[in-house]
Amino acid sequence: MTFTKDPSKEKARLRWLPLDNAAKIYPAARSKTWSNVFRLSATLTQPVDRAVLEEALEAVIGRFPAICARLRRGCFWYYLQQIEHSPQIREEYSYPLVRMPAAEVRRCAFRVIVYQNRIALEFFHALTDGNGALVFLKTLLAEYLRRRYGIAVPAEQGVLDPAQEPLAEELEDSFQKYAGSRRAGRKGTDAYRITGTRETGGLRHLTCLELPVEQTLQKAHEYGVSLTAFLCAATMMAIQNIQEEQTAHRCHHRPVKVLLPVNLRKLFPSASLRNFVLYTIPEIDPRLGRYSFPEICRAVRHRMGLELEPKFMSTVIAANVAGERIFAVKIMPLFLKNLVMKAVFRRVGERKSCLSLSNLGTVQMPDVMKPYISRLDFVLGIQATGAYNCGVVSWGDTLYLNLTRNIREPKLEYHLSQVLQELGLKPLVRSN
Amino acid sequence: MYCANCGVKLGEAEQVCPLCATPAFHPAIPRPAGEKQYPRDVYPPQPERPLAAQIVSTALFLLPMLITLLCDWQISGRVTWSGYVVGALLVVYLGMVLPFWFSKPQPMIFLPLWFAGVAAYLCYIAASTGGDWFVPFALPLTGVLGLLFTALVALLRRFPKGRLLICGGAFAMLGGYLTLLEWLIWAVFRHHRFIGWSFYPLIALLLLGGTVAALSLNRETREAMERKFFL
Repeated sequence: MTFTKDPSKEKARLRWLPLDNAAKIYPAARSKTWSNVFRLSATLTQPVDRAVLEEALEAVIGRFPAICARLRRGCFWYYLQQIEHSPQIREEYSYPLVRMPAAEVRRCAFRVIVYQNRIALEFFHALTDGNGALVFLKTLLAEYLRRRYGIAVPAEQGVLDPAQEPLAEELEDSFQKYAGSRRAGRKGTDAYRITGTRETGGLRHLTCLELPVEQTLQKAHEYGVSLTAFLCAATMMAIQNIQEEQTAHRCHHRPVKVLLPVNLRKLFPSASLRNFVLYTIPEIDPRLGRYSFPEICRAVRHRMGLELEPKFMSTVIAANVAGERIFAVKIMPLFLKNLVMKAVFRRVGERKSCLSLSNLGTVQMPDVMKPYISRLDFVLGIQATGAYNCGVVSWGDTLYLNLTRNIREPKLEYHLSQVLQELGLKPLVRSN
Repeated sequence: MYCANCGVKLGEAEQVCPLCATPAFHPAIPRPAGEKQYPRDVYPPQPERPLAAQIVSTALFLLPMLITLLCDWQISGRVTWSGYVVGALLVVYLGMVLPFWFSKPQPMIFLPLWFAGVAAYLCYIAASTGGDWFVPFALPLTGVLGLLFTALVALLRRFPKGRLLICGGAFAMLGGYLTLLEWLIWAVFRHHRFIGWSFYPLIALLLLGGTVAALSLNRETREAMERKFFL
């Protein structure tokens, strides 16, 4: 007797997963002009071989059932379903993070884009956060380099073995696991928003400021803060300058707030490859007077010191998961949930900060991969109603700070580069 | 190479500074043609505008029109009362659905068009009821109101910063319009003697318009009012 694989049963065995707590808002908040997408890209030292990349992609997608997935609608919640085959590799456009329409997210919620030496991955945020995406990128790069150059890449420093079965802890929704017993409050004032002439047709401008890591870190230590806090303080200083230029009377100024995503895997013992990120929002209130750079650094350091604690974060997680645990919410039809969540997101989610500044930190990879990779980029999609967002990643001795904007005037880029120069740093600027 | 204006170091492919748009040029420094990070002028196809909402809305308007016309035809053998219903629905359609068939509806076109539609509807009512009030009464009232609204929208679009002054003027014009209305009622219908009720709203609207205009011209008072009445 011979057994053959029944394709319909194969399809049925594809994994499906409910969305994690942070992901639930993204499909609901999506609109005709905006979807929450971010990009991670690696530029290699030689042009990318598409055929080899396709093979590598096909080999690794089974290892990441929560990332290589499409978004489906249930009656009460959205869910992710693992895809059977890798998506087609796409051509690059003149700007990154082109809106991901609903039809595309239903087919496959991430993209692979190749341009010259660069492999770029764009993810719908409901799949994973920057750290989960980074593990996927590293594993894909390792598989590509293995197949292209025949090198043996060990499964270490974030590179996973594609032949291994996905682990249960990689697929867990860690928010449910680490929610505390007390809930944090959600009070907060609306922040200043940078405005300008909106680009039409979804056009995005990308400006990359490249800084030497060592020198920037040294400068951060001079002010007694971490690299992330230093960049956050510089951005806040630039926004303070923009606001002073645009609003004459100080009494009309609004708080300057920057949303800093926090990788909760550093606070809790989680190995999840799904969203497991929260945020802290350092702020200054320019109505109280002009802040000097050391004062901003202190404000950022104290806020981060206060909130980046497991106990505090567990109360924030508890507040976030409380809503979805209410029985009445669970049985509410999905279209009603979407209406409510969209309204809440527009009212609360975005107005509390000027922009996000997400720092993935210094990326580590196995030594054998390093000679093949010349740079990495982390590009955040713009908020639904904001004008800017900022992604930071360090590779080798260079820090890449990518600013995306949907307005014509490069206000923040200009002021941020001025602040960095006043601090003694000389950024190298590239744009799309 | 460094930007001569803002001082940042520029990537090899930057022909102008991305931060201040200063051309990256120095006669003594030859610059190799660097490779841009993204291809030039390759844009995603723009999604086509979905027309489902417009088609459904048009169908929702057409359906009662047809049903009303059919019923009227069945009962009277000609168009009688159904003409008013169809006319009214057409006027609403003209204002609420027709502009959305266009990707960028121009209010300067659709606003006068809508007032012309209202005038045509009133003309139809006057003609079918045998009234002679359209030319001396309804036409000037609709025409003046159409002109006022079109002028208001045009001014607000052209001078958005002067919106308070424009609104002040609009209040005053509205007062004048009410006086015109009363005068036309008296002149055309002559059912009663001229009372002069319109002078009360005229005075109130002139005062309101004057106050708003004065506020728009006096920054300090305006800011004091904003502080007093902010929500």
